[in-house]
Order: sequence, then C-alpha cells, then structure tokens
Amino acid sequence: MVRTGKRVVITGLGIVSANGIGIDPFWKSLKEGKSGIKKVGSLNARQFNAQLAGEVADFHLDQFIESKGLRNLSKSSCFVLGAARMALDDARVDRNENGCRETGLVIGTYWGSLHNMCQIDQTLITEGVNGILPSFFLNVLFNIPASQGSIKLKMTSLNTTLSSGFPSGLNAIGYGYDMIRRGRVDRCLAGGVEEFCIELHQWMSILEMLSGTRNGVREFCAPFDVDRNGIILGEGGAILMLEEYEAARKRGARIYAEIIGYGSVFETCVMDRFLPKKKGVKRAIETALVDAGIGFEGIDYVCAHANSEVTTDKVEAEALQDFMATGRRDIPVSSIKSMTGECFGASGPLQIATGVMAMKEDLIPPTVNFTAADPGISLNIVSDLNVTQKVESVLVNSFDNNNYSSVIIQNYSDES
Amino acid sequence: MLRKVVCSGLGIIAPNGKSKEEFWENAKKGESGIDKITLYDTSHYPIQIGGEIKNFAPEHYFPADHPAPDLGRVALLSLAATRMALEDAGLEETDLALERAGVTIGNNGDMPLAWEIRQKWIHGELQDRADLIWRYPLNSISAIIANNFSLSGPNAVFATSCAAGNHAIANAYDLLQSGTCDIMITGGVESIPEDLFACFCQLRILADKVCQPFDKNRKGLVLSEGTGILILETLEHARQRGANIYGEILGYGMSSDAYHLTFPHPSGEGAVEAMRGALKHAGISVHDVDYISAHGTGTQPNDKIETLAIKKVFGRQAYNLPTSSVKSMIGHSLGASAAIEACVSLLTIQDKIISPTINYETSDPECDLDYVPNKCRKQDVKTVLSNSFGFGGNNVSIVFCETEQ
Amino acid sequence: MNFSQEHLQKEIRSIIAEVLELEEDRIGMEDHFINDLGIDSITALDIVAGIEKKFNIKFPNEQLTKITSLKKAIEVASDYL
Repeated sequence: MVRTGKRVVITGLGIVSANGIGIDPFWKSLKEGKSGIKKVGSLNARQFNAQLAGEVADFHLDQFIESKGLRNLSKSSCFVLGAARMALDDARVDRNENGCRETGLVIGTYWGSLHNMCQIDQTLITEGVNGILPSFFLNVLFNIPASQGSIKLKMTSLNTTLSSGFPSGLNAIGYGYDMIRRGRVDRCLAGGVEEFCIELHQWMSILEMLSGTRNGVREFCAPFDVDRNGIILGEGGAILMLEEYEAARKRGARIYAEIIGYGSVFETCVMDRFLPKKKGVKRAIETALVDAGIGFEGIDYVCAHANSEVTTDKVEAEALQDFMATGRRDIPVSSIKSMTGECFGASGPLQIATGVMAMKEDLIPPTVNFTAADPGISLNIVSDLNVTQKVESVLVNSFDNNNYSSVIIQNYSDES
Repeated sequence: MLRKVVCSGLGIIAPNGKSKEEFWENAKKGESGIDKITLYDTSHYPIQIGGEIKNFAPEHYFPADHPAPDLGRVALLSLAATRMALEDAGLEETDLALERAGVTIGNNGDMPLAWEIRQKWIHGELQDRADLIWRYPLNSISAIIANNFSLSGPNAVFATSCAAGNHAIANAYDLLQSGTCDIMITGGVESIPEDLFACFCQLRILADKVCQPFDKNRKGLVLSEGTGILILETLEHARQRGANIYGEILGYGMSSDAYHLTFPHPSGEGAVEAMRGALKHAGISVHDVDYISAHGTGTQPNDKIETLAIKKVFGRQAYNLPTSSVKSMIGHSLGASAAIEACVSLLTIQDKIISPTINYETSDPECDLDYVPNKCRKQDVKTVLSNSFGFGGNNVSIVFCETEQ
Repeated sequence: MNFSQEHLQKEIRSIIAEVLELEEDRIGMEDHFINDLGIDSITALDIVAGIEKKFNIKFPNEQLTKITSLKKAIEVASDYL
C-alpha cells in the first residue's frame, strides 16, 4: 500500500454484544472473564446436541434511535443502528445534521439476515407471493442495515456494505482506513454485524463445526485448548469511528488509538471443506506488518482470531509461533471468542475494540476455558484474570478457509 | 505515486447477448432481451416479464479439460464472463501474478444456489447436502472466481443493491491506483431466482410490458439477470504486455441519499453529490463529459430525479449531453447493472457509437434531456459518466475516458 | 363475493392497525396514511399487501396512489371484490 501520509485514528466505539451493550460494559465483562455464551432458549434440546450461543440480550434500539419507523427492521439493522449511534456519541460527533453528514459508513457482514430470508422463502412456499410483506423483504437486503444507518443518522457521505468471509468486519474497517488514507473522506464509521439464528445453528451443526455436535463431547468454546472440538456461535454489531488524524485533532476529538497496518489476502482452496492454511495467516500478518513498517517484535498483544475450531486455532498458533521464532516468544495472545463466540462479521471489530481497551488499561483479557495448548505450541496464551503489562500495540487477526485479514493498532497519547 | 488504471478486457452475458460482441451489436441495434420469463412459472405472479438469459449453456464457455463446475447459475454466469474477459484481455491464467491480482464483485445475495439451499433447508433436505452450505455466504461469488482462476489478492463482494457493481469497480480502481494490486477482476453478476422475483412483485415497481426509461408513460423497472466483468490493470502493467486498452477510469464519486429505502431524495442531492464527486475526482469539468450512461431504471421517481440531478450538475450543458439507458434493452440486473453499464461506457468510447434508450414514445416535460431515443448515434465520445443509484440511497458515479494506447 | 361495507371497514381497519401497531379506534376514516398517520410509502405498501392477502385480490399498480386512507381503501377495494 502506498502511504499517502494521512494517519487514521479511532475516536469512537459502539458495541452491541452478548457481553454487554456499549464499550464499557463489554470491556468490563471481558476483563472479568464473564462469558456471554449461554443456553439458547429457543433450541429444541432433542434436535440439537449443541445448545449454546452468545446471543445479544437486553438490547433496546429505542434507547438509541427514535422509535418511529423501527417496525420490521432486521436484527442486523438494529445492531448497526445501535452500534453506530453509540460510536457517534462516543466520538462526540454532533447529533446535528452537519456532524453526521460527512461521515462515511461501511459495514461488513457474512450471513446477512438469514433467518428473515428463510421466513420469506417459507412464506412464498406455503402462502404464495401475496403473503410477502414489502417492508419485510426490503429489510432483508444485505445493504439495508448500512442504509438504515444513513437514513436514521442522516449520513450522506460514502456508504457501502461488503462481504469477504469471516473477516468481513475487519475488512470493512480496512476499507474505511484506506478511504481516509486516500483522502476520499475524513471520517468514517466502519464495522461489522452478524445475527445468530436457529437456521445458522442448524447449518453449522450439519457441518459439525459446532462444539458439542458429536455425542458425548463437551460443549465449550475453548480457543487454543488441546481439547477444543468446535465453535460456538455468537452475534452482535461493532462499529468504530475512524478519522483522519489532523481532522480529529482539529476538532479536539478524544483519540483512542491509531490504525497503523492492514493486510487482506486470499488463499485458493476447495470451498466445500473447512481447512484454513497457516500460509494465509502469515501472509495477512506480514502484509499488515509491512504496511505498519514494524517487525513482529513490535507487537505487544495478539487479540487472536482463534475460535475453538480445530484447524483454525492450530494454524493461527503455528503462524504466530513462526513469527516469534526469531524474537520475543512471550508476546501475550488471547481470544475473546471464548466469551463472545464466533461472531463472524462482528468479531474482527469486537477484537479491535478489545485491543483499544487493552492498550488503554494495559490489561490482557483472558482466554476462558483454556488449560493446555496443542503439543508443540508454546505461545503465551493468557487465561488468567488481571494480567497486566504495557500494551502499546495490538495485532488483530480474522480469517476463514479463503480470506485472511490482519489489522495492527497502536496506542495513542497526546505526546505521540 | 498514484497509478493510472485502465481496462483491458470485457466479458458480458446479458439478456440480449451472451458475449461482449453479441451484446454490443444488439445494443447498438436497439434489440431488447426482455421477454416472458421461462425459468419458472410466473402465471400466478402479477408480472410475467423479465430479462432472462435464454439458452445459457455453460459448457460453451469452458474448455473440455476444465469443464463447468456444478456451482449454480449465478456462479456459472460470472465464471463464464470472467473467462471471456480474460481471453479478451489476452491473459492466460498463468499470466496472473497470483498475489497481486484480486477480485471485487457486485452481487446482492442471490448467491450460488441460495434459494435452492434455503428451499432444501425448509424441506428438511439440507442434511444430505452439507457441501452446499459453504457456498451460501454473500462473498462466495468472488471466492469462486478467485478459486477458479487462482487469484490470491484482496477479495470481496459488494452488496449495495443497484450500485454494487460500481462499488466493486471503484474498490478495484483504488487497489490498483494505490499499488496494492497490478490486475483486478471486477464487475457484477445477478440472477433472478424465483423468491427475489416474487419479492420485487410485492414492491409494485415492476413494469408489466416494457422498460421505458424517461418516457412519460414509464411503469417501472424490469428485473433481469446478467453479468459484466472487467479486467482492470495499471497502465504500466497493460503497456508492458502490449494489451489492448478500452479506456481509463479517471475517478468516482460516492454519496448517500439518507432519505428512503426505495425512493431517491426528491431534490436529487444524493445523485448530484455522486456525479459532482466523480467529476472532481477525475479532475474534469462538466464540459469534458461527452455522454452519460444513465441509471435510468424506468421508474417514475428515478428517471425524474436523475434528470433533475443531471441538470443541477451540468446546467445548460445538460441539454447538449446525450444520456441513454441500456436498461431499456436489458432491464435491471441489480448487482450486474452498473458493471454492464461500465462495459457499455468503455465500448462507447472504443466504438464512438452511443447506444439508444429504446421504447421511447412519449416525451415527459420533467424528463426533457436528449435520451438518444430508439436509434444509436455516431458521436466522438471520449469521456463518459456512468451512474448507479441504488436502493437504500447508495450512489456511485464513475468517469471513464479514452486513453492513448 | 359480497362484502358489506361494514365488514370491509372492520377488516381493513384491523389490517391498518396491525401494520401501524396502533389501536383500531385511533384510525380515523379520513386520516391520510402518510400525512396524518405518519407512515412512509413502504409501510403503506404493507397495508395494501395486507388487504390483497385478506381478500385474495390484486390491485393494479395505478390504483395504489388512491389508497391513502381507510375510507379510500374501502372504496378502491369495493371495486375489486
């Protein structure tokens, strides 16, 4: 990436998650090792071995957005509106028209409103076309959450919705980062959203991706743990306010952190089997390091992608170990998915928000359920509470079978 | 240093032509591809017409040693068009330096087999077809293209409704301009599975007979399927390998209406901002534009407000500026539409012939520009502005221009 | 099929109330959907879709702009029943 000289900083955080609504409750629960993963009330226990998910609870959109016209909004739209509103307020952007007008909005998502789309199809099959409600259909389109954001928050600048696998949300942040660096926009809300639904739970069960799917196996989300046996689904919306540095300084914004590196690559593979590759993880990290102009030894904490999937965690651990082979080997690593579940498009942004707070408080959140790593892996995987150390930079990874992305953020203080 | 970005290959499959040559010849002749839909029974729907790609035979596009994979219609359309575009660009798969070639595609979620997958789930049959599930997610189209042609650069699908193709092209342009990539496969693809068609019927914006952009009696849009794939590369990369160049992308503008899920802002301000942004980014004035490839869907609101917006941007110059809509011939292919219209823009620059807005019968006082009615026109077109204004108020306009070989 | 005006009014009022999430008695006969009841055009389409589904009819698109209040909805629906 050719550097244009513009720096990109994070000035606001908006979180809708199973671990809390808002950055402070979210971070507090992570620090305390409190998982948002619980039994899913609406699942038929006889039908599914896997019973757990990280579902958002106690989220009331009308606390964030005027309640008129909220009917038939999809969960994705609700999460995006809530998180966007929080990020704008956290960034202390004026609620008046001009404050939001020139702010871009980019959202990444992977599955979209799968549940609502299935409902529409079910209606079409059983009732015919007359049963489909126009507003219900419209609210199911992939770009509607971002569009609802622009409509309700009066944002008239660039607005896009993208999908690039599990890292969709991280790539949305990369998109916003690049747009600011290119000078297309000074300020951009960027993040990701994902919905949990029974359909997705069932589909992941069919694929045996979920922990606890096979009889007799313990159902738990245990990133990096040698006994891990699958993922647990999560959901949420996480949006960051990204700003061009000089513009942020000029308006007296509170600056949390700076994005200094981003890398996004693709590894070709057979799509029907889930087998991420170490090579892809390394290429993404390497690209981000080159972009940042630092070596791996410059990273103080890795907020990992690891989501308790057998191959995923192995390739990430091996990739990180390879990077550490010639330098510091005790760089702390942890995965918040042990507490949030795998939130796909929302995960990457949740991890960045976590990294921001880790730098703010010099504290590493734990990998809950971790007891021992795979043989041959000797990473410093943090599982205790209250692990404090200086954190000035964080590496965030997100990847799947094909898409691999990494972001590096650096602490900001007024002396920087 | 910012690199120049050019187009060296096009692949098009549209209702009125299953190759770039066939499509463009028919577009110039004003041949419509809109007809009764035959892919499913529409007799119980209020609308029966659409832009279907009749007799699409994937095996014609794939060599015997690399047969068409079993991936469903929308994937096959995009793979076929990508093959044609690469061939058009004179590129073998082995020419692509894997890590510096990426894929960005506009598509709105009729992902390969999405409707089929959901149907199987509803009927309790998905258990037996677990292999289909990983093809469901929204980005599977761009992943399938990259897997098929072994491309390891940045990869994403943009899902901004009617503007998706332009968002994908703009992102490809940025990745090339900044030096992240040397080649990008970009464009858009969409099919019209039955559930999508039924939903659009319920929106009451579909015309029942023809697509008549800017005509006083226009009744709405006509849904269609199609794909437009562009091979973009840096100018130096294209020159180095002696590629034929269709034209250059000079810049783009983006905005949001921030108004309504389906209606454009009545003042046209969103469209104005996108068009002005494109001209500014391209570093050109209103007098430099020779032709506008309109969004021109054939709905009452869009065509009226797009006309208003063009007048606000171009002033009196708007009346000297031919503006036509290829949707009059091929309908609205959602994620593919902006991409096909980008192809049209480049073909217009190459051929110096403007394709018409067909079905134009009655003029509308609120739409009083030169829409190149019914017959194509020879004109020395060097610079084109291509508009796409999507549902949800997503607007992207792109400037294409001639470049020296 | 013969529907009394009273029946039509009852059914259509119920549909509007459900779409608007309002009590039925808050919907005046002449209240304009958009100007008085404050809904947007898509929600108005939901009302139309509800009426069409309930009575198994389909209004031509040209009629839609006339269905702007409970009273108007009853008038237009009567023509198609």
